[in-house]
Amino acid sequence: MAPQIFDLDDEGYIVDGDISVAEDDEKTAWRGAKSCPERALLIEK
Amino acid sequence: MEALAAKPVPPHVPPHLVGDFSLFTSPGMAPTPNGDPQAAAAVVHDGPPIFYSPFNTRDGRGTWVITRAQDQRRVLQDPESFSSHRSIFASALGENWPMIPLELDPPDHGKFRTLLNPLLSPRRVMALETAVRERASFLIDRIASSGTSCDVMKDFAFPFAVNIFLRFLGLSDDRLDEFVGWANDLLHGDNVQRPAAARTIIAFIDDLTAQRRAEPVDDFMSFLIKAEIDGRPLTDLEIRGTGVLLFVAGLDTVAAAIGFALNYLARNPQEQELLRGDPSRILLAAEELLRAYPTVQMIRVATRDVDFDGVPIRKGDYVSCATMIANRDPAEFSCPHMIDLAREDNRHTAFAYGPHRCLGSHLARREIVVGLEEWLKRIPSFRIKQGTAPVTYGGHVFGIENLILDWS
Repeated sequence: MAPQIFDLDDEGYIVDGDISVAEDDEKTAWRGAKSCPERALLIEK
Repeated sequence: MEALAAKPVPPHVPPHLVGDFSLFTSPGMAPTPNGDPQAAAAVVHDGPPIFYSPFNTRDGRGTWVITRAQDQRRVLQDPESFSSHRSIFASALGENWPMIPLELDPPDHGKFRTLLNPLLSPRRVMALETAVRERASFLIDRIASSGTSCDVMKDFAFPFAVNIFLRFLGLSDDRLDEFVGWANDLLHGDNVQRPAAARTIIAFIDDLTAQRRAEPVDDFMSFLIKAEIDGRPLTDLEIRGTGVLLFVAGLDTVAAAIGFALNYLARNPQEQELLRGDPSRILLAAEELLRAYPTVQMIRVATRDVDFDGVPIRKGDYVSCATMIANRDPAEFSCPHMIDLAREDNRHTAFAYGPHRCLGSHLARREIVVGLEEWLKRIPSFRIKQGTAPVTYGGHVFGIENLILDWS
């Protein structure tokens, strides 16, 4: 969905840890986080 | 309702929390021409967040029913209190062994998921996509060249899903019809057909294991035979439990999802045209169709007494988390009964939630999306064939039969 924001491991799963998001990418990051079915992604301002 | 009244309700269940809804016996759950069992199940949102249904498993057991998506997540993310070890398959034979990893609890569960996840990871599914698309095109081309009508389930959805599954097992298509028959008997058969199918499937898995043990190839069973957990090889029963789950989980569910999706599109020509005109919409549309027409209910067993917002769940009680109910929760989805093929933030639970989230979800999604893409590319505006009515049913695994489409 947004490879410039979310790093994926060799199997294609998202790499865990904190991600800093550029201002321009905030909307995309928000949509990415909201699409995680397991609700594993949290957004902090 | 007499059948329900005759069913004893455990004494700890407060009478005002006994509901008459059941995924097996409520209106719309029996095989119904032109039915909509998922919408019929959503009536529970008019009632309390949790109630007791006295007849809510195939063998007539009572379960608590959790209606709110948020509460279902609480249950599904707490395997310590709500175990998934029910031996649902083995119990049909009067035996007690788990399907793996579904019926294992942490920490053993995690070891098997770590072993199996890479086999069905997003990356692996990308590698399978070419074969998936080739198969879909082949089947639909055959349908398109032989007329202007077909039974989607028989001619496309099942042969497609079963072929991908057999490929995974390293087997050819020769026995495809046989496999479909076994899966059908197992999931939807009566009290004679189910144990018979269970025995047949076990014999088949055991036999395949023996063959691969003698002559390993590059396939799933050979992988299991070589694999190690905690520095030891898998036991025969573990190999069987894993093989059986793959069989049960991979066939019927994908075929049903494709059936429900094409049933919806056949009745909504404008939406069908929109997707056909702009296939990039199919990805989101498939998610919405999974939200609206999921097929599975998760059942957990309480491992201890739990006070669930004041409701007394006792150790041993069954707790049902039905995907079709969570997915129509108005607290999570605006206008849950409206099907909006462009819906965003669509965090539905068609693939469950928590540690047991469907292992094959990435492959299932690909099969559904590719299936719809190739279908819409090759088949012009289609509708339900006049004089026919697809039969839908509820129960343990929801499904659809005889989806006869016409594009003459």
